Amino acid sequence: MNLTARLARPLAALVFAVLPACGGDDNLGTTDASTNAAADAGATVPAAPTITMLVKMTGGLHVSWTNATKDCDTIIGERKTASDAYVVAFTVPGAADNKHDALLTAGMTYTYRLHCVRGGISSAFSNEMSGTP
Amino acid sequence: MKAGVTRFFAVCAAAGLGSVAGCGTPEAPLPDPLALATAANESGAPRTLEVTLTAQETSWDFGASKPSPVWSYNGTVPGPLLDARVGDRLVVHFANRLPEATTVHWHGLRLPNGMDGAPDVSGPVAAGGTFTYDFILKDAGLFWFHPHLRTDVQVERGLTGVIRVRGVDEPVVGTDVDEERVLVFDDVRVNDDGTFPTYLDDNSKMMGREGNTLLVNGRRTPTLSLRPGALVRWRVLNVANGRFFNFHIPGVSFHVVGSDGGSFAEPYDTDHLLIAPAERYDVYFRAPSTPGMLPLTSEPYDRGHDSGVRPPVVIAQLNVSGAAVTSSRPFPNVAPIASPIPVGAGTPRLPFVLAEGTDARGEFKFTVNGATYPNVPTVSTRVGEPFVLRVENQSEMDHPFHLHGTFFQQLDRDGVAIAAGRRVAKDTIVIPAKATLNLAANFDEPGMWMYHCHINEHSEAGMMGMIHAAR
Repeated sequence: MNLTARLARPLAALVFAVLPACGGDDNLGTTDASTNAAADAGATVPAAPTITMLVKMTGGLHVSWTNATKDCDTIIGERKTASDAYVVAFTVPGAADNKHDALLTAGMTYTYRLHCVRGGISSAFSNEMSGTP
Repeated sequence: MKAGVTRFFAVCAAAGLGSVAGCGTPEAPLPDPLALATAANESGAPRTLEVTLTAQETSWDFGASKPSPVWSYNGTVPGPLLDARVGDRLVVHFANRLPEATTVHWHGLRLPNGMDGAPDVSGPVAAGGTFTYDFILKDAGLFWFHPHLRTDVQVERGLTGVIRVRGVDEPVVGTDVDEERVLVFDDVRVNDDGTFPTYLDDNSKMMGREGNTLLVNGRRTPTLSLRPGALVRWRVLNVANGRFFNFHIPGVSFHVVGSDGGSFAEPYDTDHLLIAPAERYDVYFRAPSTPGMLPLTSEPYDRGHDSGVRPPVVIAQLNVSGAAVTSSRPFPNVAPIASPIPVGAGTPRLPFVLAEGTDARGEFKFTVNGATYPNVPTVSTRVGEPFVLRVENQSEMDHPFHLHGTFFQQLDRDGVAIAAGRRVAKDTIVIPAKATLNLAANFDEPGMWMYHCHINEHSEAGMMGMIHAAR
């Protein structure tokens, strides 16, 4: 069962703000993740995951995604607020496709992006998605 | 009689004698390739079922590239069907050959407290240890057994089994009904190589594990055969950790006569049958008169956290084929088993508030009255004195609430009374999100009785407590 699909629902029906951040794809090729990938030209760079949903749940935000690369070692999730730079929010095994980010401040908007790491090589970053717990 | 019927099925099936007299006649039930294993009765005493039950490591084929390293009772998933009659004595010589401690909880049975398999009451059965369970089967119904220690992991690994306790006037196959099946519904999450994932993701922690492989009696998406026009009795059980099944067969209406340990005074008809983890239902339906294949699906059901948008999933295929049944038997009359539990203004009310949240580390927690087990304060009642469990679900998802040691009867939901004809003896019931149910109960055995959510990840994360029934 696709667990991400379980949580998916039309965006119009969501009762909270979920806003794809503007310019998310612009980060591709300019980040630490892609720099790491470029550092090893002899290996295949894994494809980036795609964030599909950000759901408000029990005071936090629940991030769901699809993995374009099946054998990632880890998925690393980063978050930022409007005033801060990205920081690592979580690291999960490569087969995971969701993570709950609990320790957030109510009313503040958070933006997330992900990348896959395989054999020490990082993918580019995923799309970005924002939400407010 | 059962041995004779089993032998008949085996002979007909092995010989491929579907069209030979005695095997393929409209009067004969079709062979049941999904029939559960049984356990040999080691007792010569009357009205006694004495069996050996061994929890052990086994391989089981879930359809992955390799068999999965399951834990099983007696080598099968699910474990054996224990078939008995109400009033029989059940003796189970249990041996734990797992690499860790376990217990056997007899789900839904009224029994002495020390036989209940609750680890904090009777202690765990250590790896390599043994325990003899010995009690009288007081009630007719479909029950089951499973571990009550690391329940989320041990049940997911395959440790489940079924007890069918027949009542005194049950419909007879061939006379009152054309066929009867015990169907155990489950799901399991396995990797491509058959191994079990070691990482539990947050969806699974919140909703309970939901597998990528649906199972009926341990088989992946099997085909069930039915004769056209047959009157069929299905006794269904959901042993999944978290998945709710919402059964549907196109063109078929389920005639629901019972659930858990009781029968409805007023059976009802439905084309969707919702069954939460640990629940059982006793249903009849008439197979379509036209041969063909029909899917048994689980339809979307929103149990909270936007879980209702998934597409239907096919659980099994029904093959309606063979000689048509022309007997047109009516649905059997089923007498209600339990009498209403008397409740009045002076009946004690025990409040239970179910809630979800996160702890200081950001991990999900599931609470009862603001605390997680074992820190949930024990509440008290007295043997033989009816009481009401007032269960308020403040969380944003359904919780299947299970009480050990006795049955309860639902009185109302959010103040709206349940019709008397629907007050069946239950041991597990869905407390819908944001709803409050009043449940009347009455212990007949003293002791410390557990109650908990039967989404196994929730009970392990704290949504569990004890009721002390004093003499």
